Amino acid sequence: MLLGFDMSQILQQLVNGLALGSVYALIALGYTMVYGIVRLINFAHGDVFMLGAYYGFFAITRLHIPFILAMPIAMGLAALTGVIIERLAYRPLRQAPRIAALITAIGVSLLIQNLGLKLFESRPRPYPQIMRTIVWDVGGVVFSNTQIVMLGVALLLMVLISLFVYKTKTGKALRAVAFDRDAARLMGIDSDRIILITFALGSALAAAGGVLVGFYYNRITPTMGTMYGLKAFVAAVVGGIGIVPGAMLGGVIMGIAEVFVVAFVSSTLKDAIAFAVLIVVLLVKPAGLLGRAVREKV
Amino acid sequence: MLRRSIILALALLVLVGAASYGAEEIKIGLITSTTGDTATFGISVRNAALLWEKQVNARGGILGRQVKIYVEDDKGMPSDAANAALKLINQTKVPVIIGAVTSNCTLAAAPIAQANKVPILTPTSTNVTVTQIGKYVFRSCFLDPLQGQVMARFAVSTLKASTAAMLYDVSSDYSMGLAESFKKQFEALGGKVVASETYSRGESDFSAQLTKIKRVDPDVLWLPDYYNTVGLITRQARQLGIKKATFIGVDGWDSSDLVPLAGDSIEGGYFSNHYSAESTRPMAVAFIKAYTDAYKATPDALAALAYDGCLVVEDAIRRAGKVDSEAITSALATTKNVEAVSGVLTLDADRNPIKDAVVLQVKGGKFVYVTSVSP
Amino acid sequence: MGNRRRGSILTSLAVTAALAVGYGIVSFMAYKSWLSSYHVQILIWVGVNVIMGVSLNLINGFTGQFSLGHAGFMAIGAYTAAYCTKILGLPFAVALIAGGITASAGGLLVGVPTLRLAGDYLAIATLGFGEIIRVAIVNLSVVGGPRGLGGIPAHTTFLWVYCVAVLAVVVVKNIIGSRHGRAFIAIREDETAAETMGIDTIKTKIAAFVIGAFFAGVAGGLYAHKITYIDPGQFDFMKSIESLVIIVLGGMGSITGSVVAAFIVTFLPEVLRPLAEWRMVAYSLMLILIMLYRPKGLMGSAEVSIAGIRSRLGRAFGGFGVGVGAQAACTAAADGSGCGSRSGAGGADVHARAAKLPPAIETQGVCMNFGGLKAVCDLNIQIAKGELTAVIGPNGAGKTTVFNMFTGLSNASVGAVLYNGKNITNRRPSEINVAGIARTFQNIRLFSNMTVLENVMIALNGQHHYSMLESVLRSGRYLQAEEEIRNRALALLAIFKLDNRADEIAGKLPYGDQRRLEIARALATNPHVLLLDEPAAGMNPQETQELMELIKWVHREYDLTVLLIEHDMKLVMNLAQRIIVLDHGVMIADGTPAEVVKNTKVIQAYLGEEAV
Repeated sequence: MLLGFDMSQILQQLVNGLALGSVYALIALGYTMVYGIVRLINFAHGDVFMLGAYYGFFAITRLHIPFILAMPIAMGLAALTGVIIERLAYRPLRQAPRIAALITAIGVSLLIQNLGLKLFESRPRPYPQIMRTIVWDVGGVVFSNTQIVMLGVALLLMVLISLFVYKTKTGKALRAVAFDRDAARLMGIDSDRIILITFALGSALAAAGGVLVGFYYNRITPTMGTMYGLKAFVAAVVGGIGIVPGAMLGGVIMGIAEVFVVAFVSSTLKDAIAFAVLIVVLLVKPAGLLGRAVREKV
Repeated sequence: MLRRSIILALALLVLVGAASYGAEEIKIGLITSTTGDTATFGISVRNAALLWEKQVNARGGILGRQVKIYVEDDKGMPSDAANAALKLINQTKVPVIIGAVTSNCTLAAAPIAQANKVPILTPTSTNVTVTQIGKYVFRSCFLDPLQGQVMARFAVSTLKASTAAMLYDVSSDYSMGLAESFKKQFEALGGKVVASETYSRGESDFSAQLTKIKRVDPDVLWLPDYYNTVGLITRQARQLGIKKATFIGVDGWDSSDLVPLAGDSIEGGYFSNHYSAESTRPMAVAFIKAYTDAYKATPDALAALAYDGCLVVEDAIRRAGKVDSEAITSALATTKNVEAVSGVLTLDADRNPIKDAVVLQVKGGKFVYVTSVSP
Repeated sequence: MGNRRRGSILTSLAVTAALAVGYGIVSFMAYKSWLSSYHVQILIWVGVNVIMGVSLNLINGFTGQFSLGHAGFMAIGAYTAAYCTKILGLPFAVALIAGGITASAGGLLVGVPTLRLAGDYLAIATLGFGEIIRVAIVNLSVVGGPRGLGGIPAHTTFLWVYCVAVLAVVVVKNIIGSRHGRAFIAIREDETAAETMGIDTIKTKIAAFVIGAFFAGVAGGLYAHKITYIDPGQFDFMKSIESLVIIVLGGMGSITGSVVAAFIVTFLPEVLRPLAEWRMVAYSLMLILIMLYRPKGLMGSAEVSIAGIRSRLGRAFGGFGVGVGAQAACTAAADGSGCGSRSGAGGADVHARAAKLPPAIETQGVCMNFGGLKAVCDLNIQIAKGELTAVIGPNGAGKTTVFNMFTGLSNASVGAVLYNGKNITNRRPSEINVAGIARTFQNIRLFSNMTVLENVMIALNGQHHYSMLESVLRSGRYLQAEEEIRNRALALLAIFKLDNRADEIAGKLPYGDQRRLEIARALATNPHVLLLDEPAAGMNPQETQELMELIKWVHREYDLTVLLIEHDMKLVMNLAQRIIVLDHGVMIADGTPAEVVKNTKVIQAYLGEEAV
């Protein structure tokens, strides 16, 4: 009981932080991939996450599709949504000042959220229970089967996306476009197609995050995207925006930092800590933890 | 020729105007949040008010005139609430306003009503300072301190609790006020608040706070917030192994969505409320049925409170005998024994209601009446 | 010059009259009850949003510092002002100023640590600061914490907001039209180039944050004394976004645009009220559509100004007489003293002098590493005063790195760089420029969205001093200095045969003209040493020939020490008195052109081993 905190307490908070961080990481991946490729802070990403949660919700409750299928369906629908958003709202602005695209993204975010409030009803929905929660207590550290499922799915998706980005041909093209869109085009890469794929993948990951949040926390609301979106975005920047492993690292760091601030400092500072971490990281390593500083050529 | 037709037209206009004047509807303004973060509460309020409008018109209106509610959205933002209030007063020219839902919006809208000498009655804002703005500002729901005091007493005397932990929303006036009043009363009665943790609106992970609370193992856990958050907290609390603590809360728990959100975890919890859904009071039974029929959902506490606010205003207009802001204000100030869903309402000299609270328990997924408490 | 002064007074009078009329119309309409207090209240919010928009535009639109934390400054101002009137009982005006000042302090606090960040990273950091300010207020029980602060006296009237909004517009507009404003815009256009033109970018950026935050704070004070109840939730991230929407919708860098957009953003949600729950859906849809159809905002970066209207009228009615005088004055000054030329010393024997004086630039064992790569290694060079030296070498030889070290853009890893015997190794580029070293860039770095004239005027910033206050007040000193700057710039442009293009946008000039403009701009900083990085790149033979003559002339006429990097050997051979050859970061030859061409190492470096 050194300093009033025993080991099990710390371990428990670590488990809590990991669970929270894995969701941040999934959403952050979408942010990072989109930013990496079109240099756009896609503010609508958090709302696609919300949509994903609702797609899953309706698939399970209305169409009575089992969870294991509902998740890929939600991901597919969200990917489609992402693609539509890109085509209609962002692509026309590819050559415009970047800030115009940013404002459009904010507009899209507001649009989805308010449509959600209207179409899905504003009240919070309890997510359908798909498995009985079983809790294990190992030496004072408590964890549940739902946590394991959530962590497992999140991890699996992260591994898959990493394999895709780093091992496949399309993934290579994706990295090429992210590195230099014009050069990639000269190499015969259809950058428009790659950008669409990126939006589709990012949105699908966000949807997976949405379904997992519904599954684990048992509540979804049309405004849930704002908070998660903002935190995940910060996580992406902390890890190094545009870098796939960075988003995962950032997500986990954010989750753990939040939990530890509550646990060992004060819960009123929880909201500030995300941003404090962000600012410190940006000041020490302006390109994020895994980012490499790019020197401007003079 | 032209002049004659113009005169004719004008005369016609005057006639039509005069004819319609006698049967002119009574305009009532409603400020609520139909968009934004607090829309879920605001829409309950709007639904209940529109239900009342339909019913009162079916009964033949007030003073023989039909009633029309003008709904203005405040997005949950004070500046929008201020705009809505002024629009209702200046453009729509309503003699009385019901609203706003959240205390921060009411605190921005009420000074405008006060300055324009138009009565405003908030059915749901619990912040003590709201009615201190002036004599045109009324409220028909509990104040912050009441439920905290009621539940602190209940915890000590009925549940025999000696230690309590609190977990509340630091960004919500409502939640904070209740946490403060509970703490004060609980400690005055000899109890000890062993942990006081917070979160902000919109959060869904409370594991860190609950892990801390688990260590101090309190007798009761005070959760003064709405059902949408409480459901998540109790679920996570039980999962983390907080087994001993009894969950206690407030009227915000009252929603048919609480049990689906919380699952078994909420079983055995107690909360204070304005009325019991089991109540055999005809008023309550009729309201719950009508609301459920109209909106395919059981009303939550906010719906009931909004409906009661409408009833108080209706009563005041009837007693005033005319649709005039000053008359309605005077009538509101002397509101006495209005039969409402949540009980019999009387406003005190500070324009706040005097009403009983009931304590309910979640049992088998239902809210069961336990006891009544007079302030 | 009197003409100009009179024009300015006329403009001021016209503006004042127009403003008075504007206020008169609103008061008259309110008096006649055509405007209800509801409308007036919305006009007050418009005013608050105008102040927010214009002040953010200064930070974001003009200085190019992407800030997403403007609501944080507004919150500081709102709380401070409310505290002053409600709790301390101070007069409203004092409270507003106090709110502005504390918000400025906040701006300073945010500005200083985040200065090293740029673009989106800065945006994210300022967003973070905005949120931290909000959370800090939540934890501040003296102002009510999360429960907010109510019962604030309702001091804000339309007149107050109107006056402050006008003040904000005038201050920002006048600053933008001054040397300070040109520094802001230069940073937006190209921070590196601005720094090498002697602009202290750090100070300038902080100034932008501090002024912007001041007005946001005053806006907060006005807001608080209208709404009479404030809580931290009112100043959240979405409020910052609202300000950003205003400036982007209006057009970044357009004050008129910000004003127009403030109207739209404030009125639109009110106009859409009949749509009930659909109103925010409609609002966001309209936002998206406007951005899709007007990606540069409603106004682009254009302004509606009295001068603009007058010149249009003038054209219609056959001239107004203003502006022509100034043009004439410039031409007259072209051969006068105020042109930055230090003629007279031009004909002195350069070599004779060089022997007596310490070297203009000297490197002592300088090394420069990028990661593992050695760009320059153990370099020892001495450049005598008045020399015209060429630095040549194959690609990647480290030539530009040497220039960067001379101008402070890179700091030597080892060794020292001396200028006139003084160590400048770790000095900032702006300090080095002020000390007397100017340069051009290999990949032209003009302030490409500014006019040709403005590009040169920026470079003259450091030589004509007047304070920001004087520029806001349009004082005599300001007018005189601006006149001089303008004339000197035009004179310089005339030398480079660019005076007929003075009002064109720099980025749209032909390539050769851009190169010449860059040299003109460098010269305008009044340097002793001029570094030219591939000045002839991309020029045709005739242009190159002209350039050669120009460099020669400039070197002599301005009594300069010139260093140039060039691949065009004809130019180098004709121009340079001395050639330094670099290869792989090492100096392999140093001597007269005749010596260097015979150097075997040089031949090897250029043509490969076999060539020898």
